[in-house]
Amino acid sequence: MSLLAQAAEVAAGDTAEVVLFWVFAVLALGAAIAVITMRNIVHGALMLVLNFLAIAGLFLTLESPFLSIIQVLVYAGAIMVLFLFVVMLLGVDNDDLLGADNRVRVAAIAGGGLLAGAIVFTFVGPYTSEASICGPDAVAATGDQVDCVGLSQVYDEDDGAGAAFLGRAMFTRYTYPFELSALLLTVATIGATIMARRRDLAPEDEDEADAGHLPDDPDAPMEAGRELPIPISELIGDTDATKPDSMAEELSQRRPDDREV
Amino acid sequence: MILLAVEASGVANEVVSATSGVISLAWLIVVLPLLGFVAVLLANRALGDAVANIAIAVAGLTFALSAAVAITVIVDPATYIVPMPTWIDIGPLTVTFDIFVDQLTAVMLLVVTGVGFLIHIYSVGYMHGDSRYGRFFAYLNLFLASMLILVLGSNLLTLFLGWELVGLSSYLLIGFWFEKPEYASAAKKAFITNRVGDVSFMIAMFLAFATFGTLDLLGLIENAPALASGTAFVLVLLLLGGAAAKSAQIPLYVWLPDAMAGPTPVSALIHAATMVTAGVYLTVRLSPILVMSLDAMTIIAWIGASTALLAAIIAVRQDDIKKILAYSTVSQLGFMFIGVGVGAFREGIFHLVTHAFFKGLLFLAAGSVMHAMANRTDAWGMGGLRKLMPITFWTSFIGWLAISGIPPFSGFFSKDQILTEAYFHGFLGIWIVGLIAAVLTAFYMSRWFFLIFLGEPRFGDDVHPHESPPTMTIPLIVLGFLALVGGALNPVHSGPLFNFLAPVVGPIDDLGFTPAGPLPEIALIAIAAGAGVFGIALAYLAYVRRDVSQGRMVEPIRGPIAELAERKFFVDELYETIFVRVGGRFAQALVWFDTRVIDGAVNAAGAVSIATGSASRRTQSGLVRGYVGVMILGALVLVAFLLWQVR
Amino acid sequence: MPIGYYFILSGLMFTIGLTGVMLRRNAIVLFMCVELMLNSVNLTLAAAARMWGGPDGQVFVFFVIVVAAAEVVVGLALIVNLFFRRGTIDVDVPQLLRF
Repeated sequence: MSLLAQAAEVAAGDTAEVVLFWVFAVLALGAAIAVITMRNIVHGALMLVLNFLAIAGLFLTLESPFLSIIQVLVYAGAIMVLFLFVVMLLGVDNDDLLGADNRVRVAAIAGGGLLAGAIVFTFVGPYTSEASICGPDAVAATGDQVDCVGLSQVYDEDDGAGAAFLGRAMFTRYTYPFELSALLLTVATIGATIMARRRDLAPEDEDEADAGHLPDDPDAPMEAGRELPIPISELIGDTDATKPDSMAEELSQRRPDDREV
Repeated sequence: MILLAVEASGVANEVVSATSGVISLAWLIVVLPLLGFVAVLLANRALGDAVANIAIAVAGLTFALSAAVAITVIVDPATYIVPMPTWIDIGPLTVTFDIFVDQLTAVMLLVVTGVGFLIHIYSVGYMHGDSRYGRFFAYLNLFLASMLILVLGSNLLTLFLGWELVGLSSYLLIGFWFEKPEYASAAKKAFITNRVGDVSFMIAMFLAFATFGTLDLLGLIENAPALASGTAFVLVLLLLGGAAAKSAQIPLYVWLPDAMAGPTPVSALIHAATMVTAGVYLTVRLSPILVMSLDAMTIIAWIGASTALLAAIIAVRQDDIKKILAYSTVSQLGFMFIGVGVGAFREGIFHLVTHAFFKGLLFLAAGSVMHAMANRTDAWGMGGLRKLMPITFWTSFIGWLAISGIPPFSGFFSKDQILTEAYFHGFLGIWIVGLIAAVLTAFYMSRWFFLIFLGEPRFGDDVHPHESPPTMTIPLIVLGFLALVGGALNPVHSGPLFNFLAPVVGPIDDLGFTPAGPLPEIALIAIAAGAGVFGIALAYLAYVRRDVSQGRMVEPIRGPIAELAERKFFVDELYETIFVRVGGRFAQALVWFDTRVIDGAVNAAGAVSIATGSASRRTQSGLVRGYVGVMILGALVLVAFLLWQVR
Repeated sequence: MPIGYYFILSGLMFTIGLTGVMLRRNAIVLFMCVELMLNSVNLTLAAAARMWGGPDGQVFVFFVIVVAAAEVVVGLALIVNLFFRRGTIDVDVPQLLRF
């Protein structure tokens, strides 16, 4: 008897589920708020991991232990490692790029609150009654109440994590999307490889490949810092840098130290 | 009188669908010259001057086929339709490429291909050494093909196709030496003047289709008797507009004298065999429609008469030997239109045939003279060529007497028959005008002949006239023979040609013609012959007796009318003022309207778009978060909508 | 536990993620907020699967995770590229599509 099966057993129990739900819910919401408010990106990323783990816990209470494992492996493991790697690579861990404008901040929070209120308003009532408690022995739904079937009775006897249940659907009805998702991952990998190449910065290529783009005078001050050996106007194809509103002009005036590091 | 025994009223032709025999090959008559045109153009570079042989062979073959077709029609008279693929088939309008062969077609085929073939041969000598020798022959073949499409088309639209192609090829040939600006503009003049007539012809086609519901010649001819006289009047006048442009009648004759700009064989081709005969052919072909409106026919007759007179007067004072011939063509075409107008359709066609012989002959003779005289065309700078160019002289002699209307040369018969018919059909005024024109014709043609061939040479030692090569003289001799004996086709009023053509012309019995006077036909013949003799005698007195060969030449006829004739009655200047100046003003006004009002509307539409765009582009901030904000707004609206729906 | 609470929880998380997208200018944080939103959707799907007693919701969660992985890979590559070209990961800076 694995730990997961025990956890699922616990989740099925009414009281335990309520306790676990509230614990994980508070954790998830708190971590989410921390993600969007913390100025240090590394801290924010760690808070996101916490959020993911809390959601993994919620998957357990939702009788889906297999998804819970996937969530931990893929999200908390692979994806967050990638995030942290990029943060470290670019050296932008200390970030102050909050929305500077107070009006935007107020509008965003007000809009978010409105949306949240609408969602709560939608679900409270029909979905939160006694009838919506999952399991075979639940109260029957009346009026506009919504019944919850639950998963315990559809899983096989020896399929505690629901993996066989999920796998059957995945490899029968959803075979083609499954194969397509493999293709999608391949394409994404190739695309990312191509996009992330620093072809304009490779030091050994400077003489040959990009000779035409480089300033003739090697002592010329590089306004945009180490990342920008090439005039911005050329990079973005905006040659008319004299034009007001021009992207290139604006960027040229932005010195590297202007960046809020 | 025996000569006017019976005006054999036409017995309608039997319509035969020709799917076998010679007639069924009639389509080759059109296709061969077209292929020749393409082949000559393609082989031009490879074969050099030998390419002319292709063109001549094609013309010869076409002539042989035409002769075979004509013989078939003579032996077994009927209207033959050779089924060909359909060209247009939309709703009630069906236009096919069917070939239409009847007696009139047979006559036209022989004239067009026969004279055309001779001109092809003649061109070998005349165009020798020209830098665009091969292309000239290609154009000749195209011209031939165009004219044959016109003649063989079984409905007005294919006829119009040939009509337009004739205009195109005449443009190409008149402007053949386009290096000279005046030649190029002469070609343009011919083309544009013809376009005026084409528009008239097109409107006539629309009207014909609206009235008859078909454009087939057979259908038009069959249904013509049911035509209301008002419709017939308008239709005939519209057709006349088209015919007047092609056949150089007032007011659209101005292009023909300028068409002299082309090489002389082209002039001969245009004047004798092809282009200008198209209008006469069209009117005679549709004569069943013509006879439905006597008023319109009278107008045609008067237009012909005034054209004949005006052109004859102008020709009296021209010095260019080709210009004289050009105006004489206009004048002779006027006679043909008199014939058509007074109901003498067959006589008109007869005159067309004899005219093709003697005018082709005269033009080729003029070309031969120019060839000898280093391309000079001023008649006052010639003289005394009789001994130097005997063949040209004797053939010109025939042509001169033929056009002057001296019996027994061919021109006498046809011209006399037209004038006689005018008299017997009650057109006294036209008869008198025609007689005057006939006198003038004899006069100016004698002047032409005397100035070139008689007297002492009036040119210096810088030119050495000589007889032309055989390729040029042989066509002259053949045409000379035809001009001499052409009258035999229809020596009396009910001659072979007259009876042959009887089934294809409209019936004139119901028009109620009465003779204009008591004169018997023999008297009319005497008067017509006398007119020719009188004109020649006058010219003899003016140009031979008062030996113009001595010293500086002075035109013996002077006076304001002569001056007016020399300036061609200022018709060109008048047209210039009316159409170029006033038309130019009108066009400028239209340009103003176009740039200000129409372009203004378009520009305003653009300006509105730009204004709308620059107003709405403010929403494109480029800020990702701005777009997210709008997205949230949208999501909120959606959620609100769903809530409102669910709850 | 009534299933509605899961829905409400995921709705709130979604709203938090959305607000984060609005508030922050850092592209990486932006991405993390998008991940938050995706996870909230996952939660909804899992809850729905439980509610209907069928496998479809779980399958969809699985696919969302796959797509999210692909999206993160490409998105982070874009951010790296942007940083190399502009020297910043401020999403307000690239405004080439501006009027």
